[in-house]
Amino acid sequence: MSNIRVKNLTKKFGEVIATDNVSFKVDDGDFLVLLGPSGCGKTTMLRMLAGLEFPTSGEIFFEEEEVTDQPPDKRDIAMVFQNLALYPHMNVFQNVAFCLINQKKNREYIEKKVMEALEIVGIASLRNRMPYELSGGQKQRVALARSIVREPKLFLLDEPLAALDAKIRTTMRSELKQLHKKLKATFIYVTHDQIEAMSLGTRVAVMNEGVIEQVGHPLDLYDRPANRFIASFIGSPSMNIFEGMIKKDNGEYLFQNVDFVLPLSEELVKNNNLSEQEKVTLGIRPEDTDITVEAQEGGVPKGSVLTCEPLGQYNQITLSTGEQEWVCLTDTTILPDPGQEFQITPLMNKIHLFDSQGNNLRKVLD
Amino acid sequence: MPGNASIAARERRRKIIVYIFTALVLIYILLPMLWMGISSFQTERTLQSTPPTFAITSETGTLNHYNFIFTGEIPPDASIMLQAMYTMEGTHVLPAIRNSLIIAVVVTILNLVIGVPAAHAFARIRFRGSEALFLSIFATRMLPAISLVIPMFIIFRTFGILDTLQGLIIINLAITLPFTLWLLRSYFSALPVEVEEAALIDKASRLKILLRIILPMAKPGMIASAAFVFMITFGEFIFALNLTQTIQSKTMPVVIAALATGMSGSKGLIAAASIMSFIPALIIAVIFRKQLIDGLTRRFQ
Repeated sequence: MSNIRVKNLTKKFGEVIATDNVSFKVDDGDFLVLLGPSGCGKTTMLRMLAGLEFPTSGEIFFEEEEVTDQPPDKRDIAMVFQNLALYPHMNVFQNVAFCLINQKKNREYIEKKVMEALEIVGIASLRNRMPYELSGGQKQRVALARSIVREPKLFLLDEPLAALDAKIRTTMRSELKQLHKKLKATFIYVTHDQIEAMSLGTRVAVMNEGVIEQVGHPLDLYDRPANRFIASFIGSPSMNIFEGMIKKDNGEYLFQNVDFVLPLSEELVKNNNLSEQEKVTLGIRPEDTDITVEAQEGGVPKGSVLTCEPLGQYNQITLSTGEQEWVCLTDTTILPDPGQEFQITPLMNKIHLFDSQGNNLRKVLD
Repeated sequence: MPGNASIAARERRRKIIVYIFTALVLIYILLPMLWMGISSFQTERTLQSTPPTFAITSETGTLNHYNFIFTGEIPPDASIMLQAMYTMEGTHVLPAIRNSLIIAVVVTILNLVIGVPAAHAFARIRFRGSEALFLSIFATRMLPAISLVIPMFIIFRTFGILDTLQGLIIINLAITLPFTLWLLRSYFSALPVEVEEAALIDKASRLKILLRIILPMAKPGMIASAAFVFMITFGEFIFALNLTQTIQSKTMPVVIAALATGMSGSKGLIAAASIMSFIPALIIAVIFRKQLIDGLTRRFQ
């Protein structure tokens, strides 16, 4: 098993559409992250894969077998819940063993398998503890052991790190990644945290309002966002987005914004059949922007500093270009005072241009 | 630091006030019981003296009242007048306790057997009209009992269950079940549904999930509601008074009332019977005091 196909999956709760005609494929051994803001339908998607929720329409295939209407116990899956859902009245060993007991495995087998699973997550010494005697990270490991012990082909994880504090979250994140390598199973992981998504996923599917906006390698999403939503959702601090239109001046194409103009490559404009006056949106990441004090001619963006936040590695500077704000990341030597004037120079080969529907026009070039 | 000292002083003052208030409440509740306890061990003559004595000495103390309840033996040294005070109802105390216990235990068990699955369904399954159904069950408790007594009497007579334990079990079940549903539903709602879903994914059958997951998690709530049902049923008076006729089904509150209202009743006997009647409830409350408090105040963490 475990390539998974989801075909035209729609789930409605009354009038509310949780997932809208979603299709995707997960290959054997993939670590697919479903990433999206809360309420985007990602958890509902996971619960349909688990069999805890049944779709209004559409199909789910595990390998070639259709499992759309199968209950959870008929699917070879394990799930880790956001609140972990350990059995509060059972100790660690019993929590992990419960599934094997239900499958009527013999005693030696259960003992062996449970201890193996506890070893993998490094909590074999806690086998007799009760859940309320464990720390957040330890509970997390029990939940993982509980899913490992049954050797499923598919792991479903619903924001498993959300309840942990920042330090353990980072540790658990890298352990999860190693676990995926070790088990060679298929993982589907739901999160709203883009850093988790980028660091864990072999592929990331970004969901928004019940549809998948883009599926791809984490860096693809970052470098080639398919649309405005992905562009502003992925990356922190998020991409600067400016509304504007195409202008032509002296045979050169320009992006005209309420505060500034920027030159555009002729190739980009021509390839997309953009005409003058056409409304477009320009996006540029904070890290792809330089600021300098030297004055330059023309309508190039200028800004006065609103805030400067030293983040250690770099400084995050928010400038006002007039009616809008522009966020830049600069090296730590630039530490301006509020009100100071700067020239803003975006790296033009890093800009993204979106049409009026929000689709990224740059992918035509790539 | 002066601040620390004043905070400590304020904290101490607060504690003193709390303790004084607690002591007052305890005195208010316990003093009558203590008096009743003392009375049950005093001779009839002592009980009728003015001013009252609270001492139990070889002169004023006696076990006659309890002796009468357990053996039906009228104190041999009692005067003719005193002998008349040991009325018929006095011999009813033991059978009445037996009746009360049977009814309370059966009603408690039925409450759990019916209430747990029903409350779980109400907490977990959103079916059409579930809220309305739940409220209408609860609404049956809105009517004052007194307004139901006569209709119930007629219904019971029609079905031939007047003066039977079964009849009282039915009426007490009807009184207590809405309460159990309400308490257990809120208890189940507070339990994380994911634990049950995790069990489902762990390939447990529905029955196994009920027995191995839901019941253990709901135990504190179940004990709390069982204890309350037991005590409500054990003390139920108004239906028992009107739907029983003989000692075949009379319960403890009815018998004590009869003892207390009889003109010739022995005060010591009433006190002894009252003490006997609250012992079962007291035992329940002492054994399950932790769960009683937990079940009512704390939700699942």
